[in-house]
Amino acid sequence: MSLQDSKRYQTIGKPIPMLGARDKLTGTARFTDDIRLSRPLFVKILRSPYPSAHLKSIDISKAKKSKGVKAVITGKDIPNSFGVLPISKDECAMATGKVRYVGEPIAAVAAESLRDAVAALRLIKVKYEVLKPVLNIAQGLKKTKNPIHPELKREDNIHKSAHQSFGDPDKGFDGAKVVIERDFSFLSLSHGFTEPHSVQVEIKDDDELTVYSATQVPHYVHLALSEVLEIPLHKIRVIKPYLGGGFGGKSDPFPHEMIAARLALMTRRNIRLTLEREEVFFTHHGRHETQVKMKLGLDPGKGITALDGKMLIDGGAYGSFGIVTSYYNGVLLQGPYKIANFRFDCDRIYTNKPVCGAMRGHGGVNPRFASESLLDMACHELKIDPCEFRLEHFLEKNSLTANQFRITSVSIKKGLEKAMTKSGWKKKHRQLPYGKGIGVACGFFISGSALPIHWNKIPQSTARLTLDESGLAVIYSGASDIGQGSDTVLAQMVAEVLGLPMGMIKVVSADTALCPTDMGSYSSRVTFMAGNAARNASIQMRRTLVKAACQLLKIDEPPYPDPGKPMSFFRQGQRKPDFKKGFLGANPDYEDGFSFSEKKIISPANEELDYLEVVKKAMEENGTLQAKGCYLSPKMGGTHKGAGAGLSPSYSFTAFITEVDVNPLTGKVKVEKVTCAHDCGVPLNPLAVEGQLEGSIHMGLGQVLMEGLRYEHGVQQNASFLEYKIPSPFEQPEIEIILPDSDEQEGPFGAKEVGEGALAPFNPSVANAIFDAVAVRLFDLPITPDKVLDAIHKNNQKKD
Amino acid sequence: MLLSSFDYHRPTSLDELFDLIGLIKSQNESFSLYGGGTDLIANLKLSGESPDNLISCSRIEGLAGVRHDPNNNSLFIGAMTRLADLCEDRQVIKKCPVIALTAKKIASPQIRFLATLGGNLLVNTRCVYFNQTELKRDSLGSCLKTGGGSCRLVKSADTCKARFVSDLAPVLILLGAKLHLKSADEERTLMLEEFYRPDGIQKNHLTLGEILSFIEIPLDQPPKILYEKLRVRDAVDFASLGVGVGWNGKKMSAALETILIGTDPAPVVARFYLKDFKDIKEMIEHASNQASALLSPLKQDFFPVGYRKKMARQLVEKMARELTGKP
Repeated sequence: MSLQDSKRYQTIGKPIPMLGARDKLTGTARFTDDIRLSRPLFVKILRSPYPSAHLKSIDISKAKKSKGVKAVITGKDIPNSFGVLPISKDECAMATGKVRYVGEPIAAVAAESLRDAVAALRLIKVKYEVLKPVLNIAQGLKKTKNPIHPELKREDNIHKSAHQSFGDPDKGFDGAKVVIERDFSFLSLSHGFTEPHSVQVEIKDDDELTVYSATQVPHYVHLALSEVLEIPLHKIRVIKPYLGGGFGGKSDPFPHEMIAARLALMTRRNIRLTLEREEVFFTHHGRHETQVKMKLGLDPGKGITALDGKMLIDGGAYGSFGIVTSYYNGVLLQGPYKIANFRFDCDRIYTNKPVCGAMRGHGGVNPRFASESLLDMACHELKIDPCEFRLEHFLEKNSLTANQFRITSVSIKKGLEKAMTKSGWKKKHRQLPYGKGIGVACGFFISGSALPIHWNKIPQSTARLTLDESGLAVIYSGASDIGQGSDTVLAQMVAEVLGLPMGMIKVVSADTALCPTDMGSYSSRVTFMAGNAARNASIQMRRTLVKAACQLLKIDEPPYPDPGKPMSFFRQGQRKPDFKKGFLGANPDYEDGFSFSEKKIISPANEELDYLEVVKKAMEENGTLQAKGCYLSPKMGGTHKGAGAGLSPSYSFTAFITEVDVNPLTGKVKVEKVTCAHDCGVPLNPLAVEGQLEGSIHMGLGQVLMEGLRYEHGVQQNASFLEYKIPSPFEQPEIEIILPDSDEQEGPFGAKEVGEGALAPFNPSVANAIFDAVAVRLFDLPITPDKVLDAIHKNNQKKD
Repeated sequence: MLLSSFDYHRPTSLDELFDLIGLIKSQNESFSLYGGGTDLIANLKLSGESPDNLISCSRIEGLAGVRHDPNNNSLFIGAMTRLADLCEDRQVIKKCPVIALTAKKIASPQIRFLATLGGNLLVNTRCVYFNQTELKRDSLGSCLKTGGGSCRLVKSADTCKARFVSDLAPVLILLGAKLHLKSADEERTLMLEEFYRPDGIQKNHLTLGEILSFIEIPLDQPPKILYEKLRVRDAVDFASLGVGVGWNGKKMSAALETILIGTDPAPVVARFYLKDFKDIKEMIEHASNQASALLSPLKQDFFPVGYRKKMARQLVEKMARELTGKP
C-alpha cells in the first residue's frame, strides 16, 4: 500500500493530535509527583561523594532520632541485586560494602516532611576508606587485583566483550580501491528529559503496594520489585502516570523504586520520592562514552568491500543494558548498505562513574558517526558523489544481511532521491562558497527487538479490548506512553478497524493490574508490537460485531478464507517468513466484506446498521464484549554468538541531507537546513511522525555540537540544565521531512519504527557538511567551535 | 533543592527597608537583598544554605522605570527595572538602543521577565567550583568562595577567581553610567567603572545595608557602542566572553575603549587614544592584541582558555573595524 492508498483509511495516515495533549498544555495532566497520596512520608537519599571507597561504617543512630523521621535504611535492608537484563543483575538499591560512583545511594531517610528528611540526612555519619578509582576506559583496561566487580573473576574491568565477524574482512580490504581508518571519540550523554525520576508508593491492607513511577517499563519494574523485595507479583501494582520524557533514561528498574517500596513496607505509610535534577544526572543510564577505531574499504562498483570497527565503551559502575549496548555498537552497522565482509569488537568497561545504559538510538549512534564519516571521506578521495554511491548500494527488500538480519521493506532509495531533489544537492555539493556546506548520511534502526529481554515464549505485547452498550471502546495495553504517542497509536488502531471517531476510544495503559503484559517503551517497539496487538484485538472484535450484524440482517456470516486458523490474526510470529505473501496482511481488508465507518456498519449488500444497535445485539450473546490480540516476533536470525542482538521484525531507514554555515572567524557551526527522508513504512499519524523526527534531529544536534558530560575525578561537573548544554530553540534548524512511499507487510497498517532511528545518521550528516563548508574533518564529538577553529588553522598552516 | 529556613520580608518603601535592615543588624542576623531572584535564589538552592533573612525589593516604590531628565540630558533607570521592560522601553530604544539590544542577550525571555537591571549589575560571579551543590563541594573540596582554604583553579591565589558575567556592565561603563547608592544615612554616587573589584568574593564597593537605587546615563555625545556575547547557545547561557567596544571619533580626543567580561573577576577595561598610534589600523591591531593579553581566563568554562583569548582578539578587531568604518 502506498501513502496514496492510505486515503481509504479513516484514521490511519491522518494527522491526529496526541491524546492528553490538552491536559499537558493546560497543566492539568498529573505526572507522578503531582499525585497526592494520603499523609505520605518524604524520602531523601544520601549519596556517595567518592567514586570508589569501602564503606567502613554507616552510623544512622542520630538520624533515626531526628525530628519527623520514621525510618532510615541502608544497603543491608535491600540486599538483593537487580538489573534490567537478567544476565547482568549487578546493582543493589544502595551500596553495600563498597561505593562505585559519585552519587551512588548509600542510605535513605523517610520523614514527615522533606525538610525533616534533609536534616536527618546530614546526621548520617559514613566512614569511608577511599580507594583509587577507575575513571576512564584506559584505566579500566589495565590489569588490576581490585576490579570494580570482582564477581566477574577478571583481572581487568571489562564487563562484556562482543565480537562478530562475517565474510572475509581482510580480503575485502585487499579488494578495495580505497581503505580509510580513523579514530573517533564521543562523550557520554544524558537524556535530558523534562520530568525527573519520581516514584510514589501507596500501601494498602495486607501489604499491597501500588507503585506510581515515572517509568518506560512498568512490567520490568513490577518484576524487579517482586524479586528484590521478595514479595509476590500479585501484591504489587505498578502504574505509570503521565510521563515527561524518557529517551531510554527510564527504561531500567531503579534504586529509588526499590527504596520507596521498602520504606512503604517498613513504615506502613505512603511514600513520596522525587529526584532532584542533579540526582537525575547521577542516576544517568545515558549514552556511553565511546572510542571507535574504524576501517572502511570501498570500491565504487562493488560498494563497501569491508567494514571493521573496534569500539570501547565506558559503562560506568554497573551493567544496565550494557551487554545489549555492546552488541548494538557493532550489529547496527549492518545497514543500510550491503556489507558482505564485516567485523566488530566491542568492549564495555566498568568505571567508577554513573551507570550508562540505553539512550535514543541505543548503541548505534556513535559507530554510525564513524562509518558515515569514513564513507564520506572515501567518496571524497575517489571523487565520487556520496549520494550517488549510497543510492547504488542500499540493502534491498526481502534480503538478508551478512549477520542474518531479515530485511523486509526498504524505501530509502526513493527517500534519498527525493531529499537530493528537495535540497538541491547536485547544485550545492562541493560548489557552495567557503563557510557553507552540505552533507549526507544514512542509517537504519530496529522496530523493536525480536528477542525479549526475559527469554520466554510469552507474546511481547498483548492488548485487550472491551465494548459495552455505551459504544465506548476501551483498549487495555501494558505499553507505556512516555510522550511519544503510544496511547494515541493504540487508539488509532481501534478507531480504524471499528470505524469509530477517536473520541469513542479510551486507552487504559501502563497499569500492571489492569492491563495485559507488554514489555514497555524501548527499542522503538510500541507501534510495531503493541500496535499489532491492538490491531489484532480490534479485528477480533470486528468479527464479533460482523457476526451480530449478520444476525440482525439475517444473512450468513462471511466465509473467512482461512477458517482453520482463526487465531492467525490474534497471535503472530508462529510462522516462517513468507516474503511473497507477507505475514498477515499489514493492511487487512478484514476479509468480511463489511464496511465500518462513522459509527455505521454496512453489509456487503449495502445495508446500513447503526453501530450501537449491532453492539447491543452482540451483547445479547456475550454480555460486555471482549477481544484480545497478541504480538510475538517471528523466529529469525542466525545461530552465531550474539545472533539475537539487533534482530527485529522490520527496520526503518533514514537519509539526511544537511546544510551548515561555519563561521571561519569563531568556528561556530549553525545547522541551517535539514532535509530528512525517513522510511517508517506507512506513517500512521504524520503529525506524530514529524514530531519524532524533529525531536531526533534536536537531540542529535545536541550531541554533535554541544552536549557531553564532563567529569573531574569521577564527578560530573555539569550536572545541571544550565551547564549541560541542550540546544535552545535558536539552534533548531529548518527541517523538511520526506516520508517516502513505503509499506511494511508485518507492521500494523504497514508501519514501522520512527522514534529513534533518525538520530544516528543526523550527526555525521552535520560533520560531513562541515567538511564541505571548510574542508576540515572532526572526529571527536561534540564538535565545539574551538575544535573547528583549531582544525581550520591547522589546515591553513598545511597549505602555507 | 530545598532552601533552608529564613525570614522573608517585602518592604514597600525605602524607609521601611532601611528600618528593617537596622533591626536585622541590631539582632546580629544575616540578610540578603534581591531584585528578581533569578540569580540569588538559584545560588541559595545550590548551596543548601540561606541567610537568616531574605529581603525582596520588588515592592519598594520608585525603584523601577525609565526617566529622561532634560535638564542635564540624562537617562535615569531604576535598579528594579525588569530586563524584559528594558528591552521594550521606548526611551531606552530611542536614546540608548545598545542597552535594549544587550538586555535581550541576557538569559531567556522567562528569566528576563523577573530579572532586573540592578540584579544584573550585581550578579554573583561564577565558577565551576562555586556553582555546585553540597555533594559536589564535599566531593571535590571547597574553594575560597565556599569557605575553603584555597582557590581550586589557582592554588597560590589569595583572591577568588570566579568570573564576572554581567552583560550590561560593559555597555553601561562605556556609556559613562553613574550609580546612585543609598543607605539609611547616606546617599552617594559612583562611576560604574570604579564600582567593581577584581575579587570574586568582594565583588564591588557596595557596603552592607546599602542599595543600588538607580543608574544615571549621560546622553551628551555618547560613544558608538557594540556588544557581542560569546556563549554556547543563543539563549539561556551566561557569557563565556562578553566584549563591549566603544568608539568616540571626536577629532582631538578620538579613543577606542574595550571592556571584556566573562573571564576575570571584574570587567577588564582598556582605552586607546588615536593620537598615540600611526593610524586607526595600528590602533585596532594594538587594541585587539591587548584585549587578548589582558585577559586571564581559567579552566572554568565550556570553552577552553586559549579559545576565549583568541576570540577576544578577533571580536575586538571585528567590532572596532565596524565602529570606525575601517574594514
